Amino acid sequence: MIRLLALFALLFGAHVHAETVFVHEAGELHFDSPPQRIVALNWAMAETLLGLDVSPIAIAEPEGYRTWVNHPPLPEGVTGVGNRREPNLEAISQARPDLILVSADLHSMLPAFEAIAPTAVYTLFKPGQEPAQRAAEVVRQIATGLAREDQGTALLARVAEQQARNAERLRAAGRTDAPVLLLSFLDERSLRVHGSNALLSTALKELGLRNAWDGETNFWGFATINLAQLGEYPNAHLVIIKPTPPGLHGALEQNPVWRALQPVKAGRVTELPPVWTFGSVLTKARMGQVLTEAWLDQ
Amino acid sequence: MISNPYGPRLTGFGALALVSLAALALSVLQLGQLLGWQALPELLDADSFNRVLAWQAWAPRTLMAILLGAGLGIAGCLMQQVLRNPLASPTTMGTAAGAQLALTAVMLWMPSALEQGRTLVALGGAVLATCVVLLLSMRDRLAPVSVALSGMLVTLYCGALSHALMLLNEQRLAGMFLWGAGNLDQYGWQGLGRLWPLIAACAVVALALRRPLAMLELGSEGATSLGVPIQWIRLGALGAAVLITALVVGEVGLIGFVGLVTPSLVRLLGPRTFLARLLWCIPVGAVLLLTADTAAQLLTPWFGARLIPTGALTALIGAPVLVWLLRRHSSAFGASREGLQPGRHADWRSWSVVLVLFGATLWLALSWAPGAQGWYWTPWSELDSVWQWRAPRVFSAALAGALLALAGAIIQRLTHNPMASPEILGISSGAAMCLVALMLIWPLAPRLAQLGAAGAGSAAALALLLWLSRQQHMGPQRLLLTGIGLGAAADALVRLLLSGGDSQSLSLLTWLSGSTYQNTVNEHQWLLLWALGCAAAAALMLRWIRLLGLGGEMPQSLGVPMVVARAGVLLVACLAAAGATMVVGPLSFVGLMAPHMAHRWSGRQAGMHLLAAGLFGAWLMLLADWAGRTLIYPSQLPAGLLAALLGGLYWLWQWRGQRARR
Repeated sequence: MIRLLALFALLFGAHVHAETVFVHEAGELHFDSPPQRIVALNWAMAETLLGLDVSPIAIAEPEGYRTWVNHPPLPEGVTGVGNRREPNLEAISQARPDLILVSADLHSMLPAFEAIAPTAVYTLFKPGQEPAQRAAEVVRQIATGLAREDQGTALLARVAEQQARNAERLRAAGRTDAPVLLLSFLDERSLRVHGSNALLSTALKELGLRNAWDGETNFWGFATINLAQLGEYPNAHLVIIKPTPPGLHGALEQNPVWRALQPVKAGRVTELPPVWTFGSVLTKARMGQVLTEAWLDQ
Repeated sequence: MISNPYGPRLTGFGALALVSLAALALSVLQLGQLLGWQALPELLDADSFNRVLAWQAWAPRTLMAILLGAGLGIAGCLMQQVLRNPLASPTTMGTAAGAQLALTAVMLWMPSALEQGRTLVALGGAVLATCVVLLLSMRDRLAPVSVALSGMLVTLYCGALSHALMLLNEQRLAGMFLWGAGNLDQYGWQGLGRLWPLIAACAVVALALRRPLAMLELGSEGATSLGVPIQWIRLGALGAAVLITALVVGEVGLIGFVGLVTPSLVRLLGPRTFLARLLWCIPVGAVLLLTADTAAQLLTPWFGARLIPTGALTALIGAPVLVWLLRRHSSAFGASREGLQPGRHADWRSWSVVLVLFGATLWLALSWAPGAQGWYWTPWSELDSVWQWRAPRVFSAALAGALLALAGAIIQRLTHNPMASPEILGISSGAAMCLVALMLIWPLAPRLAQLGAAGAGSAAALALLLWLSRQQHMGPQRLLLTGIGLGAAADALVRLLLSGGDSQSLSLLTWLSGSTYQNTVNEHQWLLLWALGCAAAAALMLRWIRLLGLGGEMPQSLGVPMVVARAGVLLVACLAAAGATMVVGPLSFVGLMAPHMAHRWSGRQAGMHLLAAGLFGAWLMLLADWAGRTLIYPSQLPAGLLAALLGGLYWLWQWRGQRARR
């Protein structure tokens, strides 16, 4: 009888114990308690975790994260598990994770990751999907799985509030509804333009601005074009996202086509500090922040 | 060509004039598309952007295409005349690939050096690559086929290295992908102003050397007896051709095949003297590149989010021309030279040493690797803990290496050519082509679909090769040359895909460089079955392989059914290569290197040769995979790439050995 009672108590106790569920693209993961040791295999996931005040124990290419993303900053002591395309399985298993976060780009390797630890799949960039919307969804799903719903809601609210504040500042400065071209230079003749399905483009929309690019893009949200194609957008503001290739400024100054572009003649060219083009919600907020600062401090 | 001296020439002039007009019309059409037809009146308005666009972008680009096309035509014509080889050209001699590799490396490590000396850097690489090709084919006295094979090897090798550099630095080299595929965009006239005097100077050198160059047709003895300083003439002409190539690559990137197609087209027109051919090459090359460039620009809007690089397009057009050219000229190549020296015989003692070494390497690959606390030797009893990560990769690498080597050994025995290998038979290229096409249509294709596409590609290439070998007179040399054409087309497609620069194409690049990473998920059992099947088939056909290897009339007189035997043996080689390619990608050079090493060590008997080749292949791939996993831990390098690097060293060492023996 006592044993039976004890068994009931045990069952009941286990039930009361905080069980968390990760809803992800390849199913659901159940944990008895929120996972502590998390490995993030792409930078958008690392950014999401840091945004929820959770530090991953290891990520792929931490040095690259510090160079290209760096917002929010990666704490010291986070180890690397190799390349983002081929994360090292031995290194991951040595980190003894209890959760691995990947995107569907690595779908063929899922069995190998699952052999190490439960693996959740979240893909922000894939055909027929708006990355910003998916990013917000993923923040909520990960927050639920980590039993941090409050932090998740707070993060999304913080981003929305920051965007609204910056939109207000821009409106006050009379910059609303300006058509913008978001550019990353590949070399002095060719560039990537980020179209309306890009994550960064959503940031523009939330600022009350307009992405001027109306051409096709790939599912990552960009198109590769040459300089001459910018001529089709005489009213646009050109926003150049750093880093730019070495020697670009000198080359552009000598480039007659660049100098003849209407936005260049009118001085509507802004350079922004590095913003990771394939990030998550915090990247979006950062884009809004640096663009507002660059324009209003000009 | 003989009946009427004026007929062909007149027809030629007429055709050229018509084609030129058509090309120019196309170019104007493209200007209309660029600006929009209703905007054409704005050209008269001095302030309009469209006028700037027409004058500073369209006009210099059009003239650049004409200038570079003419230049490449001259370069191809010179190379073919100097080497007396209808297959020589900046693309097939590795010259362009060498220039590109040099530029990639410098762009990465010393970007400041490029500000002044782009051309110098490109020239350095071009000269080096050309020299290597000439050295490699020296012992065959620069026979056309040998030069083409060595050129293909060097091109593949340089391409592998460039790709490796890009893989390790994808963010910094994003622009390299585009430039690497030949981007003719021009803004302003500086580029043109820099290039035309140099290319004109090269043309003048070519014209000045026309008489001695024409005398090369008499053969070297004939020319020497007429008092022509033959080596200097060759050096000067080749130097001019290499300089033109370096200029082109330095300015606009890799423009494939214009230098090869132009002289062959001109030969069709039938001018009989070298001077006439040279002069014809100038307009024909110009029209060719202009047409290709205009077509690339006209096509770009249809492909949405990417630019169509001109260089990739010329290569796509050029590859079939190369195949056709090879078929046309194959009779001129004559019988294959007996390039393989008689192999040695290894006794049981050296076999046991090699086997022990192999076992030791296997153990090393499984148990010694860096970890979080530095290098660590996993003892035998704890091997379980790392087995699941390492064993599938180690075994699939070894099996793939063995399969490639088996295929290579068979092909080398059949063709008597130590430069022959499955990598240049076109099997791997077929697989690569289908995979690239799949990635273009379905970017997130699962692994199974990728394997299926690679298999289908190999099968298609295989079918083509078998169909070609169906013809009685079809020697194995021609098969290799068809493979070269396929390889060129595959390379063009890969460049086209990479120019999009997104991360799917990068993951394709890792496969192309021969990564065993994805084999962690139990593919090696299937590969083992495949390997056993191929080995058994090879064992059954051993008699045919041995007899066909004798060459000449011998096998026929010994009652070998030539067509069936050749097709069967080739089928085994192709199946082996296809299986390996799906696992480690098309670029390892193991199929070239291992049979060669095995032949020198134990190649007297065909059976022993195949066995030794398989062992060496497995060994090389094992080492390469181990190095790739451990050298830059926790990042990784593809095994195929490291094997290719090893291969390069081996060939240089080989060449040194050859020279020392002379």
